[in-house]
Amino acid sequence: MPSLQSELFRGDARLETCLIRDSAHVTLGTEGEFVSKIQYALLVLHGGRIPEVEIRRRLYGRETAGIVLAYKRRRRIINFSYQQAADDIVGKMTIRALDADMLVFEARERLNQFLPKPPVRA
Amino acid sequence: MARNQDFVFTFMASNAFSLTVTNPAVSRVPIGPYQRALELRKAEGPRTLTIVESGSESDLTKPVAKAMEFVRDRTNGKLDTIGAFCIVASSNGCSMALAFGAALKKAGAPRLSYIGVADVTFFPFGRDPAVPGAGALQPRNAPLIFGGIDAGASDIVLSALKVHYPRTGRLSVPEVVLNEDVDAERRRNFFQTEGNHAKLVKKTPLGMPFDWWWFSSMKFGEVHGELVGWDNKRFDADGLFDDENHNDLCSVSPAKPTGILLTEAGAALARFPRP
Repeated sequence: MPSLQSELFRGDARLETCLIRDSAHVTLGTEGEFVSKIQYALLVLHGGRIPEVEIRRRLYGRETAGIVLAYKRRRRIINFSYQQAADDIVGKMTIRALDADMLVFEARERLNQFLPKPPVRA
Repeated sequence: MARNQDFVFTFMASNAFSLTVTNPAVSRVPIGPYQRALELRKAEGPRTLTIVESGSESDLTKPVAKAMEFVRDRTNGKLDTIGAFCIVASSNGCSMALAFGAALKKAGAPRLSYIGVADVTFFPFGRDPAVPGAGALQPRNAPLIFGGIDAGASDIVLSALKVHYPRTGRLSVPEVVLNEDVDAERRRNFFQTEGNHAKLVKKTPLGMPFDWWWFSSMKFGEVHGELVGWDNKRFDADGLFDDENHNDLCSVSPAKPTGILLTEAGAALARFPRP
């Protein structure tokens, strides 16, 4: 049984379901704590701006979906069995890619704590 | 009692705590205005000037006690002989400055002439141990999210083994309320926000599950912002990373914020009270 590995996504029932069930794909208008996790992953992994209203409402709105689309284009996440171009939905392939990228980010985050800091300029 | 003993204490950046009496002629504090004031007001009688440079520590209980002991020793236990008293600090040294200022007030010393701090270290989940008198220096407000790393730049940034948390922008500033405030004629707080970011955390100090809270890629995720009730001023920093932005604020070059605080302290010193 596939499962999410990153600290951010691991154990999140909604996103674990997204990984295995088409009906649990994250689409425009969806709200919830799991949307905040997707927004956070997008901002640290890809960048861009998400309006405060989508952040505060934990809303998978147009701006969040726009960054998902840009992320999927950059990572070339396309299900060629039924599409020719990336869409703005977080489905099985997307959540798997976000999870894999977050694993790397979290490893870098831990490593970063041990990197030497630049000296204070005199 | 004649108020004729003047002091300047500096607690800079990440230096270790060690009270070092410095020759005013070679000190970082510009004492030209003070010397001119001495000349103009020499009829008021002789004065002594003591300049002390130091760093700070994590647990400030002993350092503050040592600093207070130093002042008591210099004044023969008569704190009311203190004339002008200025404190300047940067980074972790600011915690020492705040604790020392609070201790002087508690001991009944005259009001400080000046205290200036640059990029006080605010800890997203509070400082442990807390700063004696001042508190845990934990922000009281939640951040606004400005945006993530620039798309396309991520590969370069990540290849440098740096992590970049979403930015919080200039308009979103963490605020800290001190438990016991410092009593001074002028209280200056300089800070930068380029090094401030936010992170999604399991639980914020405000009790919200999986919500955004202050963070940075610096040690303990320290951020920088306003001290409520102080004369706060934000500066633009020009570093590439959070540590560099912070170090830019803490530079003692005269044109840089900490350098400006030292200059202001020199001016405040020259306005010593009448004996």
